[in-house]
Amino acid sequence: MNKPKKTPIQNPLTVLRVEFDDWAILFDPDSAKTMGINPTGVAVWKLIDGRKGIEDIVKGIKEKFSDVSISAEKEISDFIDVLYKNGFIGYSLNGETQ
Amino acid sequence: MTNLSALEMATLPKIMRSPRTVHLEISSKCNLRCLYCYYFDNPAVDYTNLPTEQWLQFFVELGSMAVMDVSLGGGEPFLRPDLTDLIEGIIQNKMRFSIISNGSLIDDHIAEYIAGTRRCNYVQVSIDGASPEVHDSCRGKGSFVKAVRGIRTLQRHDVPVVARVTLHHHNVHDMANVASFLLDELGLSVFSTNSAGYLGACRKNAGEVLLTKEDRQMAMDDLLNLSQKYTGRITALAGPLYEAKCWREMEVARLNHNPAFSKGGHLTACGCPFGEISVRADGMIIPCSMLAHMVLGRINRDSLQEVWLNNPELNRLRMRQKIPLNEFEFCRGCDYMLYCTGNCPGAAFTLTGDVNLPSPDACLRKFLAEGGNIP
Repeated sequence: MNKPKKTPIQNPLTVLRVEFDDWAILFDPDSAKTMGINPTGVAVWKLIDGRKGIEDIVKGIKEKFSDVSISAEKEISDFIDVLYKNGFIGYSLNGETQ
Repeated sequence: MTNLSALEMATLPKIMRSPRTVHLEISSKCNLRCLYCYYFDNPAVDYTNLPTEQWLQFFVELGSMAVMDVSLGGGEPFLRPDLTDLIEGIIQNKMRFSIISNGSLIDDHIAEYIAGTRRCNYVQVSIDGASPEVHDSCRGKGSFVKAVRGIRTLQRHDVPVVARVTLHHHNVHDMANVASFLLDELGLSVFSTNSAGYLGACRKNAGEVLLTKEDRQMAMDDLLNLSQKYTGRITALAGPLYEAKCWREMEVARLNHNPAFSKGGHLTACGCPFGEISVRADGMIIPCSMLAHMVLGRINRDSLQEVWLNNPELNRLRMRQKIPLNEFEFCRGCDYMLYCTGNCPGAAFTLTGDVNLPSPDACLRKFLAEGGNIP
């Protein structure tokens, strides 16, 4: 049976606060949770638009950075999972089949 | 005001793209007249209030800069009839807030509102004694009862509340009672301490309220003991407890001939201009309330982003940390120089008229020469 495709979507309350050298903080003003992210994390964050699936985000990162490791897909997937667990993103179920 | 040279710009320490915290003096009025108040009677300050819409306009700019927190102070912020409108503006622009208050005007209605926002980091209420006699000695008759009622009201609505204890000549003997009252009886998780400084209204009452040499020694000894009894629940970023802790570390380092502390030997105090900025009640942007004369711009007229990144006076204040202490006659030959930060630039300005000097009030060598002992 086909499962609905999960698409990450930013929590509209989450603030991306770029600080030094493209390193940044994600901040949820309701929960006061914060999370420091590196420039790759910032790039991933900017690709989370509620339309792209994880494969599309990985593809976007590979296009943006020249030295992407072979484990990038898992790392990005894990990172997105952490964002979800901390409430910085949700998942939209768009009905597409995998 | 001249711009920084290319060389100065190149050596400017790294700064964030925008401040994390902005301190807003939203009220230039207060219902109390505390004898040691640093805020009032500053000839450099225009004590007027901005209208609601000007603050709301500014909050949009703060939100666009991803500022995380604002603190609302003054003056007494609960005197503003539009306080909830201002807080709504803060919420809409994705920020959190804290409120610095004397506690006397807090009722169930406003406490319930604050709790409902879920954005309040804390309300800080000033408590200077464990009894009306001590607390009211500098803050005015009836203020203790009202402040404690304010704290209990906030607690009833589950609003995070902390206390600030300002030490002065009339309460320095009462710290054990204060700690027990705030931490045991009221059940606060933490309180912070400072001491009255030679600023604002305190200047004309200095002889009556400032800590004497003996008071200061007692304050350091007592607060250090109490901070060990109530581990992690009594804090200080300035004043006797802070000095007691710093000076102990400096003495250990000196005795062991340790290398310089990472921020020692230069005017590195304080770090505020690298992460925070303030706005006066009249809308003037200043580095901090202790440097209220140093106007960097005006909200809604000047871009805060531009002020934050490029204002020459602010960047000169940041460059202060490049100034070595051995440049100063006052510091020469001091065994503690490698471990000293020169202390608060606001206090340095108040006492010497020059922000780029070490603050003589917080000098360990001077304290010892005058008969003080490291606790």
